[in-house]
Amino acid sequence: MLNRPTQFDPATLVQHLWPLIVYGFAVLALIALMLGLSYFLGQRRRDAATDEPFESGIVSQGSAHVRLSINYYLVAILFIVFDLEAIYLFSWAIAFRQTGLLGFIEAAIFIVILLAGLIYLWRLGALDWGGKQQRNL
Amino acid sequence: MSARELHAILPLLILSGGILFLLLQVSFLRSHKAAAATAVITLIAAIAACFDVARTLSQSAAPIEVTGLLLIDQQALFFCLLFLLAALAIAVLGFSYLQKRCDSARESIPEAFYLLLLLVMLGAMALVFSNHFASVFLSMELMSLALYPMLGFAVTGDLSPRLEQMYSLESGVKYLLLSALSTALGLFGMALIYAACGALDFGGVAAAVANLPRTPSLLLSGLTLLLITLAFKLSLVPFHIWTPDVYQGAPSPVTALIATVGKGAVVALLLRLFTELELFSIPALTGLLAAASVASMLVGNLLALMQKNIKRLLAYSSIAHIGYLLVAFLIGNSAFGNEAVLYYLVAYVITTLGAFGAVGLIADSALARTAGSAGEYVYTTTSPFQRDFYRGLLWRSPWLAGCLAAMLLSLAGIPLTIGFIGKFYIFAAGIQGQLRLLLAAVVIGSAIGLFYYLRLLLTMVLREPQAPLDSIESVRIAVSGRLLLISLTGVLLIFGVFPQILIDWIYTL
Amino acid sequence: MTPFSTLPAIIAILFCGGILAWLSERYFNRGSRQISLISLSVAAALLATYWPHLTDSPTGVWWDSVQINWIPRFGISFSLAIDGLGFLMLALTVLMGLFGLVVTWRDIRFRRGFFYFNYLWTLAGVVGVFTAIDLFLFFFFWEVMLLPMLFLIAVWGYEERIPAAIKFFIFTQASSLLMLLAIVTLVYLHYSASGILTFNYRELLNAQLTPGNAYWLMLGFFIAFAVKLPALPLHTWLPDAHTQAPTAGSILLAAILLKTGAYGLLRFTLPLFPEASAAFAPVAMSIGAASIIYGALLAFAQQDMKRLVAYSSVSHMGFVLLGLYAMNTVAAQGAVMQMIAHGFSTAALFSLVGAIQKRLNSRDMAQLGGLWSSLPKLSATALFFAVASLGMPGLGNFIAEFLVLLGSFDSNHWITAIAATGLIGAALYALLMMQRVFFGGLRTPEDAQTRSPTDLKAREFLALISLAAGLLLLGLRPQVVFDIAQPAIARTGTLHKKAPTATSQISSPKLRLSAWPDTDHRRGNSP
Repeated sequence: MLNRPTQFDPATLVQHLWPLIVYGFAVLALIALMLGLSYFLGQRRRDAATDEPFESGIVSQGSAHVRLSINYYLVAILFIVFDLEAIYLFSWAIAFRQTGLLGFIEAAIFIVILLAGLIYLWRLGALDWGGKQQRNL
Repeated sequence: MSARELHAILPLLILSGGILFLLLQVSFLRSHKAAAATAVITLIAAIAACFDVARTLSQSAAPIEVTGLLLIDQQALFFCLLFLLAALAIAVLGFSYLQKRCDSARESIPEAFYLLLLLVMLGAMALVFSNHFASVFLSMELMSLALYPMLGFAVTGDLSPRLEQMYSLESGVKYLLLSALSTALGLFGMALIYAACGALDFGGVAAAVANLPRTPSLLLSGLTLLLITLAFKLSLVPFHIWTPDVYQGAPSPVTALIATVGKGAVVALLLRLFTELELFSIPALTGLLAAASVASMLVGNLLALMQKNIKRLLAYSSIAHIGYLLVAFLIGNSAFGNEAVLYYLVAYVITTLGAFGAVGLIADSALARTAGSAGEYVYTTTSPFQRDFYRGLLWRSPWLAGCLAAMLLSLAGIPLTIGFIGKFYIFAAGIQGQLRLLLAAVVIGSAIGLFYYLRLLLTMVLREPQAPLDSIESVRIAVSGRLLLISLTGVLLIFGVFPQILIDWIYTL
Repeated sequence: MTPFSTLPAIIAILFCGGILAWLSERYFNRGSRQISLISLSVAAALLATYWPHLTDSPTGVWWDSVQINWIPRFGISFSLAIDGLGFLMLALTVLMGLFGLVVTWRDIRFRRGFFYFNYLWTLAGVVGVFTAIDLFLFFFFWEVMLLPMLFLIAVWGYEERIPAAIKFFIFTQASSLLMLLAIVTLVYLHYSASGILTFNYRELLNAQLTPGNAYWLMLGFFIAFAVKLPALPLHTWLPDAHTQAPTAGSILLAAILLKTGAYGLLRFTLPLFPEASAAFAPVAMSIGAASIIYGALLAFAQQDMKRLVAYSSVSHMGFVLLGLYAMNTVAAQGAVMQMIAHGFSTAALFSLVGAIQKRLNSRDMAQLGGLWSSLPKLSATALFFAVASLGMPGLGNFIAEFLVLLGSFDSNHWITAIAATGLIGAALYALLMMQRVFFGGLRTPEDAQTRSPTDLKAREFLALISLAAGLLLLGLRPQVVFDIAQPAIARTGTLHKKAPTATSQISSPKLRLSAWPDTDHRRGNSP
């Protein structure tokens, strides 16, 4: 309840925030300027190659709509999951001395849960590359 | 965190432990039966823990607050017990569903169903206990996140009919998108509430609301947005659009889960939110809820009239039933209102479980009968979810049809069933609150509702079954499913004829 | 309270008999009819134990009553009681149940056990309705009798049975929701005013209501009963339900279930809301008169014999409504008599139509004719009941209609005069039916199996003759019925008389609207 904001009052708010607002408008103006200048000053050509993707000077082959193997996504999501969990460990590491034994126990529980998840994924073959898991357990 | 607090959240701890254990168990012992057994044991242990905590609570009489996030009181424990029992039933239904559809020799993992079920229960129970907007959000997300894969679970069963897999996937994706949208709105609402009150725990918000001279629009918009999220989860009109598709596509046990536990936990939260924050005194909110309630009763019942698919019909009827429940909710902060909500919710949970359970078990049996050649199963002539499939069911398998008929009558609110007592409570509550408009809607809605329940009921007693194929032979369902249905019907009749038992329980727990 | 009491025993016997009948048919493939017969006879015997009350002047108003706590949370108890009116209705119920069973002994072939289960449960529900004096219990039985009836129509009915069953159920159920609303409101208002939470009829009689509230509550009850009766704008379920129901079902519907509506008016609506009913009486009487004329007209226009009889019921029940709201003893006595006599005559007519349908496979009057030559016994009985139905002096119906008209002439000349023209209509349709079906040259439908159908069997004939004897008895010695019904009617009667003065005396009680009590101070929880 300490940092309770004061009543919502547009007048004072504008007073506090006007540099931010000006900054926001400045950003918008700059972008508009850049886009507008290139639109008006830039040369326009319509060649056969205009709409082609630029691939370091090499003519691209085939369609860009390639079906990626589902395994890529699996790996990606696993990475995100375990990587995200690491963030919590960082924050714990910073406050390691303050949290003391209790914090250590809680972090240990957290890591054990992660470990159990990892074992589950590993045993069910989510970490195996190449299609669905081959081994039947 | 004292030992007393740890003891108070014992049911949650047991569930978490059960989930962890099940993870490891599945890793090293791939067995559908063993996984189901572990889940059931965990649920039973959690139920026992609930009783244990309730005993401690009844000694000290004061609710126990755990770290400012959770508040364990008797009413919350009652809700938890109800949901845990429902989860037990769903585990049984799920077992029957998966056993038919998962070939363990092939690449399906039916065990994951029980993991997800326990996760949903963890979320639901934390939601019931939560006393802080942070825990509300966390537990609601936990529940929803576990529900998404469950809704699409038919894909896992490699023997499921192709069409069923498609529908199931559709239902999961639909729920994911819409639920994410509604949760975002609710999160925004919480932020606005924080901006207005400077607190996120219910007590702090309540104090801030009490101190404010009049309700500021910032707080009001925050609460309204939050209400929209809850209305979405309760599938109140006009936030009901997802309901029929999701209910129809999902595997029947999951439909039962989302209709009972998913909605019930939100009702519990709504009850605590409105009581703790004293929101009944804000006419704008109660007005919104009343409008949603009337709309749900009328729209739900009217749309149900058109349905030929039983699951869609039950989905619309569940929309209407939450509308009825809100009538009891809306009479304000009173002991009787609480009692009425509790009773109606019990009636709703039992009946909905029974109805979806019966429908699901009948469909499972139809699947087994039509064993496909090599690949997945296919249903024969008609889908077992169409009304035509139920022609003359009473003559084919009287017990099953009798159970389903009891569920339908309870939904329609006919005496001898718990649904009637529930409706009686709604009437009594509405009369106490003098909610004339709502009562009129209840009467009209029930009258409309009669028609489609009755039509289904009479389809079951039709004399000449037109489908002369193999559907004439009796529907065979597993013993566990049969026991479940019969016990649900028994409970429904007992509480319908002797409601005093349940009323006493509501008070003594 | 004695451990064995007759009233719950009657209900229990019918319920258990129903279950036994079902089981016996399921496991032994026979015996359901015998079990039904036995349980109905036992019920009749139990009912006959009240015989002594008929002769010696009863000490109290209620002959016998039972009260067991049921849902103390709401002050609801399982309380049954019987008085003269209740006894007459119970006797009618059991006798008609027996008649319906005997006369259709061989009709049911499909799922016989389940049929008799429903048959007995309907009767049990009706017995409950006629004896319950706790309003919640009354409503409970009111609904319990509907469901089995629904199945009777929907499973064993004729060609259009499903829509007819749905229509029947929705009409009665929707209107009874209004009644439930009215009951709960009444209890709530009584509780707010007096602090006593109870559904007991005897205590609610003392409820003090503001006139406005009373009027609305009265309407809630009235609509539910008027649907059942049926009164004019709410009657549309009846022709379909009666026509499509199997013969035994039609007998139950016409002879017994319709009477529950009239009974409800007499037992609940009039005594509970005397002033409001008095204010409403002209409307109710007009509805009654309109039903008489309308029913007669439509009966006259029917091709289908069963529909004709069904519409004649609308007409006859209009007399009951007229008599009840005439607000005097003579008319009320007439109404009670009409309930019984109509039960007898209509049950007989329905069974005769059923017999014709079974023999000739048609009940279309255009296809039938001159049956007298081939079915003399059946035709003679039909003639008897047709003239009974049109109000031949010497039979019960005549006494009833005469008394109703006599009594209501006192209260409203014009409505009575109009209603009396309905008698002409009755003569018209009854005689027309006789003329078209039984007289003239022999005509039978083309698809009838045999040109010379068999006449009434001894069993059917005996059942019908006993009904005829009953009607004759009612016509010649009506005083017995009047004496039995007198106390119950007198009670409502005195209330009517008191009504005008009562309104002025009651200073409208200050309503202290309060919450339903918490469970702590509920009744009947003291250690």
